[in-house]
Amino acid sequence: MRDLTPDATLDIRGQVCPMTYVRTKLKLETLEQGQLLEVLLRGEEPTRNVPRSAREEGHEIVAQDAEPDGTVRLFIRKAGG
Amino acid sequence: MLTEAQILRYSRQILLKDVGGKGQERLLRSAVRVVGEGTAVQTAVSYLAAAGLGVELPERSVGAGEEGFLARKADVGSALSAVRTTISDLNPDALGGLDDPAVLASARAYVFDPAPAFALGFRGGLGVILWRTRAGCARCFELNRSGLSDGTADAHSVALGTLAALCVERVVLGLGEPAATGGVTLAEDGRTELLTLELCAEHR
Repeated sequence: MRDLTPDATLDIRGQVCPMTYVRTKLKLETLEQGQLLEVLLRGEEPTRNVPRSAREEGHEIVAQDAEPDGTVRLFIRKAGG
Repeated sequence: MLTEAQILRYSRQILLKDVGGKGQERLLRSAVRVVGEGTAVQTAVSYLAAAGLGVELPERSVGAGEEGFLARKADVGSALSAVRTTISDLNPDALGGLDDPAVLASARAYVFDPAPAFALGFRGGLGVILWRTRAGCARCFELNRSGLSDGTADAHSVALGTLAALCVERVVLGLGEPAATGGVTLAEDGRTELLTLELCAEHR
């Protein structure tokens, strides 16, 4: 596990597409530019789509780590603008 | 702040890059006051109501040719309360806060009002959507509106109303830095173009 200290954490393991990115996007809106959001997600589709959507909106994917229980920890740094 | 029900209802709009949660909140704070009638206006109203904007309807009856998205054939001649019920069923948010509404009008029915305005009409076979923001020129707007006629209950009018709803949302959200006074045309084949405005003496 990487040593990253998020400014906020969002657990969307119980959500399905498209609400996975809707929740992520709304959470990112509450952060300041450059802050780090940790997203806990599960499943192939959100693992593929959430980072892709975040990148498309200009955010930086800092890390993406899979845990033994199937949880994926995604770290997104909020873009400016 | 969006409620959980609103997050679910507007999720597809929130996903749009230029809307998001903040844009959706802005749409929910915005409203249109409807002036006039016709298929284009009713279509625009139905999409704006669905998008979360407040809608204020005139006190009148449902006119012939207005059946469609919001009114059934059986509603023609009856009070607009039937349409209000339809809008309320479509989205209860649309009958909410109506502070400072913009005017959404059929071209012939528009009368000057200092509020931001959108006028829908036709000229030379083209559908036309004109808008004027608070910073826009009322004379330029009037010069272009006065040459428009109202449409009929056809597919072109439905398409114009759909495009008008998008124009209202773009102006409300400030997307693409819309001109303070501007317009677009919609051809019958679906092509859209920015309207070259006739300008008043001050802006020529």
